[in-house]
Amino acid sequence: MRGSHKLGHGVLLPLIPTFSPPRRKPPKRGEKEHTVLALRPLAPMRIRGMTQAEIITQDLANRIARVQARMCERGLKSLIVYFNGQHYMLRFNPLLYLSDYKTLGPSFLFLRHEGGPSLLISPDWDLARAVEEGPCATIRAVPQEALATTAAEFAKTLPRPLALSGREHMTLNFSRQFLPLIDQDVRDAGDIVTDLVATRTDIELARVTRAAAIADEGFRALRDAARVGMREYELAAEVEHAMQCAGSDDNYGLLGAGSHNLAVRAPTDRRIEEGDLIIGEITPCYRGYFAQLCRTLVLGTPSALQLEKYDLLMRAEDAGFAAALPGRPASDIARAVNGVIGAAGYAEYCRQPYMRTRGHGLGFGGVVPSDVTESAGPALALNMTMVIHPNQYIPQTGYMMLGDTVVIEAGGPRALTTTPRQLFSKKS
Amino acid sequence: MRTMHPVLKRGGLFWDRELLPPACYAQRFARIKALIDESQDDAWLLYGDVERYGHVAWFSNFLPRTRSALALVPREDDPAILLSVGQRDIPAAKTLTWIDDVRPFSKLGTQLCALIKDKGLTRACFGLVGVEEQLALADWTDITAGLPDARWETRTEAVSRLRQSKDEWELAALRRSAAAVRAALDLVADIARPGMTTRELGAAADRVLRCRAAEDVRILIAGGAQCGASLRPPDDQVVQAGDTIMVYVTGEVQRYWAEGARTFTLGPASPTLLVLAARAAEALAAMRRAAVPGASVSDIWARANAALDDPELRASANAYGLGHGIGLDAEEAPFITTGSNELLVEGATLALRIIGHRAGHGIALGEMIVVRARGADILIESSGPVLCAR
Repeated sequence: MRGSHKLGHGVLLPLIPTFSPPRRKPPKRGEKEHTVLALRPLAPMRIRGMTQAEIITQDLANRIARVQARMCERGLKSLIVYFNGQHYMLRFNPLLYLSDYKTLGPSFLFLRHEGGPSLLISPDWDLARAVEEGPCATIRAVPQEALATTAAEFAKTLPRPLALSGREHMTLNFSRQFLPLIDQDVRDAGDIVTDLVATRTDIELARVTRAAAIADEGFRALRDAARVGMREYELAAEVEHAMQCAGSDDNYGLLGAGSHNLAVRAPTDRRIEEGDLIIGEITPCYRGYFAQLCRTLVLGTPSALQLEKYDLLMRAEDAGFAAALPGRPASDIARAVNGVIGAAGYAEYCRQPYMRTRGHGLGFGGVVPSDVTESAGPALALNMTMVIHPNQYIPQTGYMMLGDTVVIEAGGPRALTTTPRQLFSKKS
Repeated sequence: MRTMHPVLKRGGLFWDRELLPPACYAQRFARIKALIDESQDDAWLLYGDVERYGHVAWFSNFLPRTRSALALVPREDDPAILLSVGQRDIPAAKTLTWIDDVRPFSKLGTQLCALIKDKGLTRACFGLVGVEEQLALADWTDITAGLPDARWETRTEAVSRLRQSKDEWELAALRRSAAAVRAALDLVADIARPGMTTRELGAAADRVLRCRAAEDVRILIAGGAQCGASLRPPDDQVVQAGDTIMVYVTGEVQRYWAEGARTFTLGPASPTLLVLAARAAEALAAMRRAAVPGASVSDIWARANAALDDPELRASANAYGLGHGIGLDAEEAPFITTGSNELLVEGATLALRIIGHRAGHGIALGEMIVVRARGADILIESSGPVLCAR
């Protein structure tokens, strides 16, 4: 198949795209417009002398081995993993983690204490993509209505003891269909995979890094396209378009504008006005891995007060970065950020309902360190990826946003997003 | 048809009160109240999540962008709605619904139990709409544990039936969504050329919809050799001269979905593809002709299968599904399938499609229609068997 690598063992993996989008003028109202971005296939990514395909295959084998080791520790011979097909940025997807296949519909993965996993997917017509994307040895596809009975039949062939991950995400009706068909003594193992994914491997980090580059591209598109009179959703469409062309396959994207924003929100039909602060939370996904960028753009000339308060956010982010050291609790980041903002007289605005969290785990679900608050303190570890965002409501300026995706390294966090940290402005 | 579920509905989110005025919701509230009275239940719970929000949005206009929403409609009290948003998001959420009592939840079971206690309904009989079909087992376990004296009755079908026939407000909303989907499909025909990736084509179609205020966009596409295998989310497949491109587009504007599917060629279509396309077009036309009030969905299904007249094409077309109702849910009753006694009603909106593969080729043709006694009103046409992209 064109546009794909054929590997020796019959697995097809798509090429990784790169992007070099040309600068372009925003379309005029009513104009039929499309810009073809120059996407060129990269030479396969190489890490430590291995090709991308080799890395993915080996990385998956390592992940599976780690889960199997955990199964052995718990005395389990088999594990059933269920995923309901509803992707969610902060919810870890164990099926994707163990197969590198992003499901369209509800699906199962079966893993014995030794050997490779088996996939059972729905809908059945997605089998070809599953075979191309996931180097899983055994893949079976069924219509969604046959999923419960087929999964139960497969479960009967698995050695015991048996555990199930994902029971809580089954719908009531699906659970009524499926659970009576399997052993009543099946154990719950919702945490068995989640516990193992706090840190990123090389290929995972490469994907988060790519997602971060796409986020930078999204904000560039926002700066280019923003203009007075445009509706918020039109601006969001330009950001989305740029990021999709750059390889994004999903986006947790929020974008709002106003002279005094209370919080970030979904784009509406409001027309952007001179002097608006445009706040954007841009969270593209690359092959299942997310990165987030938060920035603020003033459409017009920023006031001295806005610059002063944004400087406060930058100092708060600096303090958050300084606290993000391996071995230290994530709550130190929140304390450091809140300390700077509180010292400037805004302590009461560092709490609900104004603010909730100073960041969260990000990359592959919102796993450890989860929400970064003063009371949540899991220890940071090398190769964790997360977003640190001292976004802040300030009574004089409204809500402003600043946040970057980082990887925790020995010397502290390294920002993966590279958009300059500044209050952006654009002459209207 | 199943599409890739996004982590967030991230398009324009607002309530167009000219398109769907508060009067239309007052009418719906009265109809739900009448059903509750008829059932003798004390209250109904209408649940919707980001994947299927039709019941809760039909009643409240609220759209869950991520996770879910649940409306409590007591027989003798004002309704309330629980939303999976933060407290600070409530002012924005209130602009999307006519319901006054809007509350956030982080744990649905806990907050619903508290709301029901507020309303004095802990020993009530509740009608469940969309709850058993979509609510997560963990939430249901919390709810039943917190309300041990409550009784539960399934009422989804009554509301599904009520929603099948669309009123003029709904049809206006559906026409707007359909126009956006048509524009996206037209654009693909305009811009497709050798050397483009399906990702670029998908991104361009997505942009057209989002610039027309789509809240959500789903695109499945196949280019070149992929057409012999399956539709899929856009990827890095490069299309070449002579290739076929199959495109399926569905988008949601003001909560209402529309879908369409077309097949293009970059150059003249092969004789094999033209035969395949002719069969698909005939099957689609057979469904459209048969889709009149009172027609059974299984009869429509049978007519399409007879027209397909090829086991391989028939099998793949049935795997994708031949169609279903469309409106506030991308897929809703009635479903065009065999073994169903369901009959079409006047004013129902249907997405009909033939998507299939045979001998390395693929065809995707889809229409969206309104069921009328005089014959279907077409909201999105399939534009003939195969279009040659410019």
